[in-house]
Amino acid sequence: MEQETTAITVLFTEFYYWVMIVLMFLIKVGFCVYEVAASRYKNRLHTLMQVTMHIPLVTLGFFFVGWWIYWAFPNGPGITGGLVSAPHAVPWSEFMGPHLGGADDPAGWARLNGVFWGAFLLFSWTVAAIVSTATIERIRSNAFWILAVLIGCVLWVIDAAWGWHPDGWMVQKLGYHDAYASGVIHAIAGGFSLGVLIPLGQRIGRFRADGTAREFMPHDPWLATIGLFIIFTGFWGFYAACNIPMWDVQSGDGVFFSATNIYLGPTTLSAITFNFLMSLSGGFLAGYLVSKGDPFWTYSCALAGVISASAGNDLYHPIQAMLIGVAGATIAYKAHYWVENRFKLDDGVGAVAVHGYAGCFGVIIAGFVLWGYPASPNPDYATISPLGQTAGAVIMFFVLGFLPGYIVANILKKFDLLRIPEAIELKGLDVGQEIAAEAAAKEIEEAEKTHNSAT
Amino acid sequence: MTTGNIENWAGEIAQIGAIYPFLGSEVMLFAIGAILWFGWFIVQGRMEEREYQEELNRADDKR
Repeated sequence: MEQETTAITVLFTEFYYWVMIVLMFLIKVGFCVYEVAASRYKNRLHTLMQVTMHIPLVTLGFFFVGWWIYWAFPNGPGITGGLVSAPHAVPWSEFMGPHLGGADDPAGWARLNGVFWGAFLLFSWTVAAIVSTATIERIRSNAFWILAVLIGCVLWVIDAAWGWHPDGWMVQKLGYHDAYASGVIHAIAGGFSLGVLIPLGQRIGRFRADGTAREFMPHDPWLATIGLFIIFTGFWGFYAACNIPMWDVQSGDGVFFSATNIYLGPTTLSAITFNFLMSLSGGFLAGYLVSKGDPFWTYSCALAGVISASAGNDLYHPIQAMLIGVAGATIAYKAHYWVENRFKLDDGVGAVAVHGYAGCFGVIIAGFVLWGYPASPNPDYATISPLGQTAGAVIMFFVLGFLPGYIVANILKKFDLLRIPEAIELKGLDVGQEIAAEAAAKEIEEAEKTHNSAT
Repeated sequence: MTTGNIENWAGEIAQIGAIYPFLGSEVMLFAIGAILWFGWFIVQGRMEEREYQEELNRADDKR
């Protein structure tokens, strides 16, 4: 840090990620608002606690093991090599606390470890929150939090080590490209949610005797859409945090600084600004038409539009991003209702579709639109291809998402730990708090009457 | 097979310009985008009119 230019680069990078963490808090706020609003009134407080308490649980899990997994698992291990040494990421490392770097840290990693950890942690919160939205109103909180730690501290981190790391084996061998996490966050979360929803089962009354679905309306549709709008705002931080703000991308001699994607390929903030807004717009426009102006689905489809284009939004032309957003949002909406009707799947907010199906579509379509592009500055790594991307989508959605979710949820179900009791589901999860609130109000009323009589 | 003009990132980065795929299709993309954009207004306008008619018919039936 003695060189001024090095110091400016390190301190700028440190500040950049710190600000993005703050912006990404809005994703969490949005999920809290949206999920509580989407639930029925009798379940709102428990829903709020379900989506809130995974924050500290996933935070601790990510400190204890998640960060180490990201750095240690790029080779599989056992696919392209063994475990990678990651001494800065083990929970007892000096670098996992306040550290000025000392004599052996010319790159300033001591200053960046915490903000980098924090940015990844916010991604972990996001992936767990997605699962929370799908499982509302009948999952036990304890079961959900176990599943949240599994997806947020282990599974998505493995997928990031494999496919969202400059030297991940999926990048090396498949040319996997997923700049803004269509697969590594959204497809895996959607697949995991689907795996949990099957053993979890439907909410009571969700389907009629003839098999058609009843719509469980959000108890506050206005608040649900505002929650989604807040998520869009936080998503800006997510996109910028997926980039590296400043990196020398010139190979060999010479220097050229640019923003890069996570794979160290050059891109710009202008590129993602164009493409985020155009894919959001494509999703909005398609969602409004297919849902006939339904507010909840119009906003959800806007999100699906961004998710669909995210895999390649570092490179697409904005109108390509818009068209991909239109297609992905339409697929998500149609697939949601097809699966619901065909398989009687009760997905509280369409999370499997908006994140899972749109995410998979996003990964696969990038294979066609970006066919032949280098997946990495390393010329020995595979290029982007439809086959590589499709294999990547299967790994994300099914291997690391659906299968573990299905297995662990079934284990929890076997020990009667997955679902709330039926009587509680019928009365409402907040029934205890409602009774306590009524009793407290009555006691205050009596106290006021006594006070009035005395005076 | 490649959709872009970037074979690798090993060359002179300063010489690289546009990085999006299907370079040269900008005018066509603009035309597609503009047609969809205008078309949305027409489709949505008709949808809205149908919705109002259905509501009015329902109101008439109740009377």
